[in-house]
Amino acid sequence: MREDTARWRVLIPVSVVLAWLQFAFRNMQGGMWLPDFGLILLFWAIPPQGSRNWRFPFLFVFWLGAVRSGITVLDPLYSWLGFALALVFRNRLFKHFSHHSGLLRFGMGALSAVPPALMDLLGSYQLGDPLPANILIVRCLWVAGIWSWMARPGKKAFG
Amino acid sequence: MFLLPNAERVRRIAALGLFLCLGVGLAVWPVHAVSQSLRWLVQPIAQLVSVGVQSIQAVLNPNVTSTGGSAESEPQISTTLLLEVERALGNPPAAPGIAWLEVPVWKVDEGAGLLSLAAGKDFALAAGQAVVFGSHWVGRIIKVENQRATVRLWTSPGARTGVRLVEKNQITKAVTMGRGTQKSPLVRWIDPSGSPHSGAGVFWRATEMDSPALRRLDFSMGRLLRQGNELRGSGVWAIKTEFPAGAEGRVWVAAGAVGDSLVAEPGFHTASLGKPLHGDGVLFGNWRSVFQLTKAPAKVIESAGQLQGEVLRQSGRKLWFLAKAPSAWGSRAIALTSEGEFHEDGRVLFSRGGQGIPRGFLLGVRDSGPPSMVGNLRSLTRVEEIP
Repeated sequence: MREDTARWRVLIPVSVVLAWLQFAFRNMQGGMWLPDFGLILLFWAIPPQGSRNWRFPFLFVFWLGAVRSGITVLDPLYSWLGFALALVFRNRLFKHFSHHSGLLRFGMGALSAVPPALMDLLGSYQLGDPLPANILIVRCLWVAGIWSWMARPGKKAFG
Repeated sequence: MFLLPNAERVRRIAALGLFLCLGVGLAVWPVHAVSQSLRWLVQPIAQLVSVGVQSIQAVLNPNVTSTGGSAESEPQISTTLLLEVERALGNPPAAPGIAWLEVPVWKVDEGAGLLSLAAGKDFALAAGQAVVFGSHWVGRIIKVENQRATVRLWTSPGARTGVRLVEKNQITKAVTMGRGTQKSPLVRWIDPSGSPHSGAGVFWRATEMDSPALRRLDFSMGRLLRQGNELRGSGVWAIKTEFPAGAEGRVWVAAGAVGDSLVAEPGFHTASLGKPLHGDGVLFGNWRSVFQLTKAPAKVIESAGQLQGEVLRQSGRKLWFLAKAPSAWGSRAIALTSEGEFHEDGRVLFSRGGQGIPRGFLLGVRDSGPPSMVGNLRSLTRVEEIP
């Protein structure tokens, strides 16, 4: 319980600041290609093999979705689903692929970033302003690159 | 309850799978009430974050959020041009004993051939009253509620209307039957004493219930033409008709007795807005978000008579809308030439109305970009749209 409180003390302000930065960067020239900062934070905060209890990832996904809905017109449901499915995908892939290979880590990151991208696409499609596929692909590749660097062996994940 | 570790794991996976499947189902087939509840749930956090974003943007880009600029590049177009054109074309000829009530159209149901008017008993409308647009016959009121009335178009499926087939030497009585807006109405009965020809003018014929003053007026309905294959014996008389474009906006109702006013102005709920914030944290497009000063339902954003966009999300006092270029409105826009004539390729675009968008707001010049937020923004909703 005490461990969770310590995490939240860091993660709440960091997630809010990252949301503000994401909005600011997204609306700069070329900003639409950048990855979702919340997803990167989620991958950093929750270990790929899964958290010790289910409560923390559940609440953190809820929190990130709520924060994200402050900077986007998308319904929070799409953010929650995207984040939750990303965690599930990454967890399943982590069990089957070695994280000692940079290429496999890259592939794992890219595949894990696909569900949130699809959810954003679905949400934007329903609003009548679909996100272009090339933007979504580049965002997934960004997440893959960052994840392959972040999860390299010898580095301990935050969670 | 005793469960083996493996069973416990399977139970958790199954529960998570069900939960995610339900979520995906709701994402693919959204339920409005669920979306509203979820937005309401996260509103305090979202509002806190968006207020921070607004402050940061105001510091980083003070010019982007300003509303006090001027659109110098935009040519000056009268924001009431469509209204003026509709009135010029739609005002019927004056006749003693008849008052013409000008009533805006709220909704057009093309399939059923019905027009919903934005006035009803409150404007002294009654069932059976004649509805016209200029010298064109439109139909009759069939149902009246307190603030709404329904007109059945003479072209609506199954609608029977008495007509006169007018030629140089003869006038023949006939009865038409509507087949919807996509098909020409047919002539179902022709007075046996007449022998009409293709090209004859078709005019409305009054019934015994109509006032003598109304009977003296001529309302055009189109031209007679022959359809089908005569050799096979399937030739029929039909009417080539054209629904006047302006009648989608307002119509005139013949009345013997009138209330306080001859013009029913549509009612709007309005609310002032703060400075708009450009952009979105996830999506790519001309998204704008803005806070309402008071909490009210909002359908469109307007400033100085020009429509800025359609509200696509409302979460409490916060509104999200997509600023569209005038040409991006597609079939939801109606085009006028600069001289004020209805034309498909006209340069000046106005909102057509329907689907929650009020009619008659200036969208801009066809080739121009998204509207620049000039003047004070306000949100609007037609009174009829509020449940």
